[in-house]
Amino acid sequence: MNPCDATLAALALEPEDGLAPDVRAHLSACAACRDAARDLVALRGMAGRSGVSAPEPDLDRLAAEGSRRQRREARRSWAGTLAAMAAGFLLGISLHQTPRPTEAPPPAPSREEIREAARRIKAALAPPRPMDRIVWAEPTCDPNVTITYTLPQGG
Amino acid sequence: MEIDDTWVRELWPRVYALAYRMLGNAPDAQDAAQESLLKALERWEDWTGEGPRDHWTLRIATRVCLDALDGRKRMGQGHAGLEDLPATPAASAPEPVRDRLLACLEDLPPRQRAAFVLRDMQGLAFERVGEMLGCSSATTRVHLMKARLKLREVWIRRYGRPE
Repeated sequence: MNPCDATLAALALEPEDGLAPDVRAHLSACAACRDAARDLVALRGMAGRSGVSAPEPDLDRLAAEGSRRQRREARRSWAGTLAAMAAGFLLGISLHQTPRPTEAPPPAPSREEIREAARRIKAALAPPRPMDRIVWAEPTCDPNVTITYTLPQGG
Repeated sequence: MEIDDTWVRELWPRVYALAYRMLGNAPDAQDAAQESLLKALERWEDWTGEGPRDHWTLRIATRVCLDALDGRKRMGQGHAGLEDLPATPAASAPEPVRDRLLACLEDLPPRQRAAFVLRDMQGLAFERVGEMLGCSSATTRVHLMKARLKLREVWIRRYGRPE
């Protein structure tokens, strides 16, 4: 920041303890910054003197607007209450219509029962055992009966 | 809603003056001042008792005006027109100077404008200006510094050196 910019910033910052010695030194040497200092003081003076005359407050308008807002707030509040009641009503109906269990659920199976069920399922899904190999079939006096001698497959 | 007649009458000129200086025209100032007082009345119970209620109300008014200025910025609107300025009372500065100031302030960003209005036109203490703007003391100083320099620049460009 060049000395003029620093001086302008210092002048506009409204230093509480007055201007720093280096700023004062620069001001005494720089006509442009002295002009800027005068401008800033002049503008602040004008700002302080620029009064505004307020018209009378329109109390009727204020009161009317206040009442209008109050009514709107009350309507909002009523709408909220009605919405809450409707939601509660609908929730009640839906809970009423939801089928509820009439008897207690059966107890959970024990670990042994689960193992046994798994074993049964495994057995049912296992591939069929191949037929035994017949090594000898001997007729008997009864034509309907034959004695067979077998060996397991692969045995 | 019960309107506290005395309170409104006492505070109205200050709130209106702030709104007028911030917004630069009478109709907007009237609307903003009314809005500020209504908000203050609506939030009457929110006042913590910290600091005078007037300052609390002026803080609400500052917020209302900043919102209005931000709204104008969003809408791409500028100054509402100097022809709307009310008649100047004999005690205050000649009309052209005030009007010129307000016209120049129009070129400042909202927060810089608010800092200048609150400190240099409304005469509030530095700490109060920070409270009104809702920013730190350091940020307030920066806003004010930039506002003064920018205002000088705009004034010189429009009207020459201030006297």
